[in-house]
Formats: sequence, C-alpha cells, structure tokens
Amino acid sequence: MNRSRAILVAVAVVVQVLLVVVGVAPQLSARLTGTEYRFAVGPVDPIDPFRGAYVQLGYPGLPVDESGIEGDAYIPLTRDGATDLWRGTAIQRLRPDRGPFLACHTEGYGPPRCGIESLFLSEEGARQVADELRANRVVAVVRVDSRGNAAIVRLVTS
Amino acid sequence: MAWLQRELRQWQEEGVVDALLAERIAGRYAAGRGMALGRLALGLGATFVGIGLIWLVATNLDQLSPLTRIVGVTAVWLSAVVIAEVLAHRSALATAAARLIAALAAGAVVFQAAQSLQVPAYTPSLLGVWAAGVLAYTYATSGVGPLIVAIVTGTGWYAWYVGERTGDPALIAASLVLAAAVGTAIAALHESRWRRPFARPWRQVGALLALVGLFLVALPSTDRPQSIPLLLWVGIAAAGLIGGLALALGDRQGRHEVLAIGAVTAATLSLLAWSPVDPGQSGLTAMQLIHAVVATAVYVLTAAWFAAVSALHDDPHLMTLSTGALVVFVTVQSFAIFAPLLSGAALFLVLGVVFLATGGLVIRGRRRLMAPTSEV
Repeated sequence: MNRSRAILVAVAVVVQVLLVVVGVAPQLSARLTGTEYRFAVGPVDPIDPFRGAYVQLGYPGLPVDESGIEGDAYIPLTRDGATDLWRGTAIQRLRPDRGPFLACHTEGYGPPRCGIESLFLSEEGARQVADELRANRVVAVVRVDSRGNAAIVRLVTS
Repeated sequence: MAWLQRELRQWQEEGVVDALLAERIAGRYAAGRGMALGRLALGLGATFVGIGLIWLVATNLDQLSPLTRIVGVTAVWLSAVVIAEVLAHRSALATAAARLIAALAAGAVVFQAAQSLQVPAYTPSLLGVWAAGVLAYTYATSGVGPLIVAIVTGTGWYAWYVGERTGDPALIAASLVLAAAVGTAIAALHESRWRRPFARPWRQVGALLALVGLFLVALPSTDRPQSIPLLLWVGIAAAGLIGGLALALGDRQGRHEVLAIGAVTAATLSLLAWSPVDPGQSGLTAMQLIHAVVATAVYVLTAAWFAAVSALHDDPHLMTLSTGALVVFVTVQSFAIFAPLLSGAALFLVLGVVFLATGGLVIRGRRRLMAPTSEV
C-alpha cells in the first residue's frame, strides 16, 4: 500500500466516521449531556427497511399542532404533580430562553416530530412492548439536552 | 461469443487473419469469459455480504448490547477497508470485492449507530450520510464499486429528501432534471480529465434522472409550482457551476453532452413554468393538449439523444435504459390518451399497433446507432 493512498483512505475513513457522528448528533448530544424526563406513551406501530422492527410511539402528554404552518417548533415541558410525568404545555415558534423544552419539527398538523417517535427493538421485543403499550402500563424515559435535542433511552413499566 | 465466431470466419474469408490467429483470438476471449465469471462471482459475493450485514443490523440482535453491535459492525467495515488496501497490489478483482464490502459495510455502521441511539425511523439524512461517506471513500480509492453504491444511495437520498420537503410533483421533476445535469457534467469532466472509468456510472445516472424527471413533467396532472424553494435554487446553482466547469475543461463530445442536458433542463423548467392550469372541465383544453405534445416531443428527443450517446461511448446499459424508458413512456402515454376514447377490443387493438410500431422503431434505431461503432 503506497503512503499517499494510505493517507487518502485514512482521511476518507475519518470523514465517514465524522459524517456518522453528524447524522446521529441530536440523539448523541441528548444522551451524553441531557437530563432524564418521563413521559406517558401510547402505541402507534411497523418496520424500517434498513433498520428492522420498531415501535411507533405517540405521546398523549404532548400537544398536537393545528396551525397549518410547517417549520421548527418548541414545546416547553412542565411536570404533572399527580402522575409525576412530564407534559408539553403548548407549541411555540421561538426557542424558549430556558428549559426544559423539546426542539421539534412540525408539518403544520398532527403531532410534531421531536426525535423520540420510534423505539427500535427485535421483532419479538417490539411485539411485547406494543402489547404493554396497549395496556397503558408503560412510560418513556427520554433524555433532553439544553438545546431541546431529545433521545429516547428506554421504556419502563409504570 | 457467437458474434466473435461469425466475425472471425468473415475475417478469415477476407484474408484479414489466418486460421491460427483466429484460433488465438477466440482462445483469448474464452479466457476473458472465465475472468468475467470470476468477476461476477466476486461482485455478487461482496454485494451479498454487504447486504447481509445491513440485514443483520435490521434484525436488531437483542442478545448483544447496542455498544457491542456498533463495535462489531465498525470492526467489519474497517477490516474490509484495510484488506482492500493490502490487496491493492496483488489482485485487482479481490481489491474491488473488498472495496464493495467496505462501501456497503459503511451503510451498516450508519444504520447501527442510528439503531443504538434510537434515531427516529425513516430519517432520509442517514441515507445521505452513507452516500456522502462512500463518495469520499470512492475518490480516495478510485473504486468503481463504491462509486456505484454512492450514486445509488445518493440518488435515493436526493429523491426521498426532495419528495419529503416539497411534496410537489413539478418540483420533484425539476430537482431530478437538475441532478441529471450535475451527473452528466461530472461524467464529461471524468471522461476528458480524470478517472475515465468514473464517467460511465455518472453518465448513466444522469440519463436515468433526466428521463424520470421528464416523465413526471409529461404527466398531464403536473401543476405549475407556486414558488421556487431554496432547494431548487441550490440545484440550479450547482448545475450551472459544474456544467460551466465541464464546458471549460471537457472534450468536444463532453461539451456536446453538457449542452444537450442544459437544453433538456431549460425545456423542463419552461414546461413546468408554462403548465396550463386545469379549468376543471372534462377533457383536455387546447393548451393542455399542446403542452402534452411538446412534453412528449422533448421526452422522445431526449431518449433518442441518450441512445445516440450510448452508441458513441459503446455503453449497452445506457442503450437499454434509454430504449426501455421510451417503451415505458409510450405505454403510459398510450393508455392515458386512448383509454378515455376507446374501450375493450378496440383499445387493445390500437395499443397493440402502437407497441408494435414502437418496438420496430426501437430495434431499427438500435441497429442503426450501433452499426457505425461496430464498423470502426
């Protein structure tokens, strides 16, 4: 292997690793620097061709957008004293000055996408979790960093 | 081989070669066929291993922790990269196979990382990350296999991204044709300046995207876009920049191809801007009919141009692509035009005649286009 080719290939490998990091940056940042919050979750469903079975999650405690305006959206979070779970109060277009809040993208209708809508599992695991979700026995543990990036960490039985 | 045997017989009759030389030429091609089989087996093997690896990621083996899985997939990817470089001076075929595995394994790394960190499902940027990374690897190693992976994944990401962002068939069509212009210009630069083997895949993807984009433009349901998004301006700027470079640096044939794709792009954008609005009445208005006729003429001319380009570059895949696109286009348009007018047996009879005429023209066109190159 000649030296210049080896350097070029090494640079290409580093570029690829950096691109992977960029591709998963919001979830990586939330996991490394975020704080844990618990949300109520419900099942929605399915399969990604490249990544296999997952459970599509809905969050009854987060608001649904009806504005008809597509774009970035932020959802400030408050703790519900009765259930000890976190809820979204409203959807706003400007980033809040202080947290905790979720940074999302909205199509203008339906639930905004905040990066916590799917949980990848084995096919068997996905089936079991879907059953538990239908029985309303599960809450989602989500890490949220200071910029509102969120990553789902696990589901726990309530 | 039948073609070669026929040619060799004719050359012997004409006294161009003697019997001994003819036998040696035939023997060389028999050995070449053996190599082609080896290449095919290695290519298929590498593709299967790469796809198997991505499939393994998709099965989400929960017996292993997410960290173990990402470390394992990364180790396979880096091993393929290193093995390819170690083999680089020993076996070109084995190196190509290892590079193809490395390019596909890079995708497995991207998807495993996303899996381990629970990145939401159906995120198009993951495909874009894979394509961009493999493109960097391609130009570092000069591997044609990785280039094909990069082009296929990059095209998939682009179509997905544009479709998701705009949701407007007219803008999707325009974006595809602009991407085609970029691909064709890159092919022209490669053909004349640097890494000639890279020209063919870029040219093929340019033709494919242009024909798919024009196909959408020719559909009568395409509406005029309300506004031009930033994404399209970026495409216009990129196509202009790389097209200008190809015109300045490319050879004569390359410049012709760039000018032709420039004309196709201009025609596409004009057809989209001119798209007559449907007044809501039944049937086509005169303006819509003229639009459909012009769009059809542009499509047929473009497909014929790519067929001519394929003959000039002796590229049978591009020839199959352009003639196949023409047949699909005629089929869809025939149904769109004749189905509302005719029914039952009459429809089948008319369509049968249209398809027979198309098939005859395609076969005749292919023969005429391929004849000059085979005589050279």
